[in-house]
Amino acid sequence: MISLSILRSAPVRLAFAFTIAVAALSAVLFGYVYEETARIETSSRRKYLESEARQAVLLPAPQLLELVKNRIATDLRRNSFEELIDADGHPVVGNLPSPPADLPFDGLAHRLTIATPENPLGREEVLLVARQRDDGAVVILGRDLDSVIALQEVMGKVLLHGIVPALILSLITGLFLAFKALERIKRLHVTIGRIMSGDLHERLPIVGSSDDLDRLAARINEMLDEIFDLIEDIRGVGDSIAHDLRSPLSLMRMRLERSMMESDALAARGIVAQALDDLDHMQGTINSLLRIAEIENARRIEFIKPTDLAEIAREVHDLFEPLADEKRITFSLAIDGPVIIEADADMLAEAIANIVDNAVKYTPAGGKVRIAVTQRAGVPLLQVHDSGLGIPASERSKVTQRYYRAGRTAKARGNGLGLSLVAAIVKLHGFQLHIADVPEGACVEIIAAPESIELTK
Amino acid sequence: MSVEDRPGEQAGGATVLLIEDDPQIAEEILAGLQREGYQTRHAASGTEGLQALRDLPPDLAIVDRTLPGIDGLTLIDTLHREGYTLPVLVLSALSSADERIKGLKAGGDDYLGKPFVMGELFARVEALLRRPSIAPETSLTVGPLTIDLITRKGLRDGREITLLPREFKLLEFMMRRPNQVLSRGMLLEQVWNHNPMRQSNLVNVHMGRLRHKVDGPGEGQLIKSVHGVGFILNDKP
Repeated sequence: MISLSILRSAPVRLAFAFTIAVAALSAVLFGYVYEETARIETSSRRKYLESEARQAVLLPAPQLLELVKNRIATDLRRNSFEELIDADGHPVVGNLPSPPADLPFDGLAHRLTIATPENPLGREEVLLVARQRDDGAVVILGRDLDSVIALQEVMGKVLLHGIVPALILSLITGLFLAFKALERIKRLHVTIGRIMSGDLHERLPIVGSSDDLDRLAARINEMLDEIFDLIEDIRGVGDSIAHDLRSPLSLMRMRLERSMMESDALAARGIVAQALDDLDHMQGTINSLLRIAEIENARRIEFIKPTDLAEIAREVHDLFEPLADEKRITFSLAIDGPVIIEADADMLAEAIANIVDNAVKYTPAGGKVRIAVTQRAGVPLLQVHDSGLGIPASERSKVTQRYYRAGRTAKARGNGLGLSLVAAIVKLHGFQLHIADVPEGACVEIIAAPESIELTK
Repeated sequence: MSVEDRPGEQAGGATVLLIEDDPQIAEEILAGLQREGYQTRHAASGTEGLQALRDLPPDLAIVDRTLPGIDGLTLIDTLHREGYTLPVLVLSALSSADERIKGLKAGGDDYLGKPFVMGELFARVEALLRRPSIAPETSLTVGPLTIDLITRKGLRDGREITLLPREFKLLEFMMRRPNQVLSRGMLLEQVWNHNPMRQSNLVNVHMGRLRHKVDGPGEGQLIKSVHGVGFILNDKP
């Protein structure tokens, strides 16, 4: 089982593949050197034999006979062959047991396996050249290949002694590296197991070699940090929701209990009506959460068409004017002709209404709220500027998160979901939501252009 | 105002078919509709509901969006294809943002997200049963109240009422639906074309201003609030 699973691991397989590759490469190299050595050695002998034969056929007959006899007599090591055959095909003089039948008289050296005086069974590899004289006689000259074969044997031994240890070494190195990598992967497995079993603070070990595995581990650690933050956020959201629902729930319970004990039917009804108000408030919170989730999960806007941003601003202004007036808030609108953008008009109106609702809610009586539709660097832009307490720079990124309510607003009744909804709608449109830095109050902007377009004041 | 202000008697015994698979919700809705004076029938699945509709068409159908058998929206498509014109109110736990719901509303039917206030359901049922007058009048009269659609001026017992454009729009909407409970959600949706998701006192503020102009000092109240639901414009104080 264990050996099988090790064979299945990628680093071990890689080590084996590497060793096989080294072996194959060595074999090719070995073969090449071996063959090349023999070829070079043989080819010099070939040229020598061929030139000897060329000169021999030109000698006068008695001199040639003398030469052949002389060579045979002086060849103490028995490594050269000579044969003189007359025009009728009868051997005149020579040391070959029988003239080879398949040797053409072309003056070129041929490699043949023949019988020799030392090897009468015909197993010796030799180089032979045959050339015919003008008088019809044939001269055959030859050399054995003993020294070439000996050289090849030496070469083979040397190469084998080099390659086998190299192969073994590469296999050992490969396996060593593979097991080292496996060891790291095993440690990663163990850590991941711990994280999966709930230890979210655990992080993958980093060796510090900044190799692939290290970089991957670092990236996964970043992901874990992000997930951890998200989980914390969700936990926070859950706590806030539970808190926000608990207060009206307990209030509602007390009221219903009191209504049960109330003997006067009309008074009891009044209490029940109050309880229903509490219930409505809770329902509103849940509806908002569901709506945000729905928009956040939507991949695209279905009902997108050219929409006049200024017209929407005018309608929202019209809708909130009486509410602002009740609070003695100076509520102004600055629009300047149609500003056409691609959007879902209903959703965009919902977003702008939420911004304005927040602004009116959090601006003290006697303050100012202003809606403006303008262009900045040719990009359409809607601003809602209020003279409320403003949003501290440190909290600006948070207010668009789901269920965040800046400290300043805790007293006003609301479920803290307004700007999260705005952020979800703006994101779905591919627009930017920006909380601008203004000397007094807060200025929320919807910029009708994607993030990639940078706008600075 | 208290709950009794809701005038249920106007239902006039219309027949409502409820197609809803949750027995407890169905029981509550049926009991409520009967209390309001409607004749009710009930089907617990899409298939059963379609059969009941074909057998004996009611005056109005309330259809849950997710049903066993045939789902609510498919059922409505089938009805429309077969030539039935009865109004349909769709109930759903899903939100109202999607395209098919927009189409539904444009086609004269209505949609209500769960959970809902019973009064809101009654208001919408009533509105569907009594489609507003869209005759091309030049003026509208409800009891002592008259508005001129051309000069955009109002009169109550001879007293002239000056209205802002948005107040005129709201009053006209209400005068086309006299003696009928109009929920805050319906007003936001239909007068201001605004998503009625948030609990907001926006409508109350608008209505407060309108009421201040319509019901002068010493005059009886024509505009009344219906607790937890919305408002009603009566022809008599």
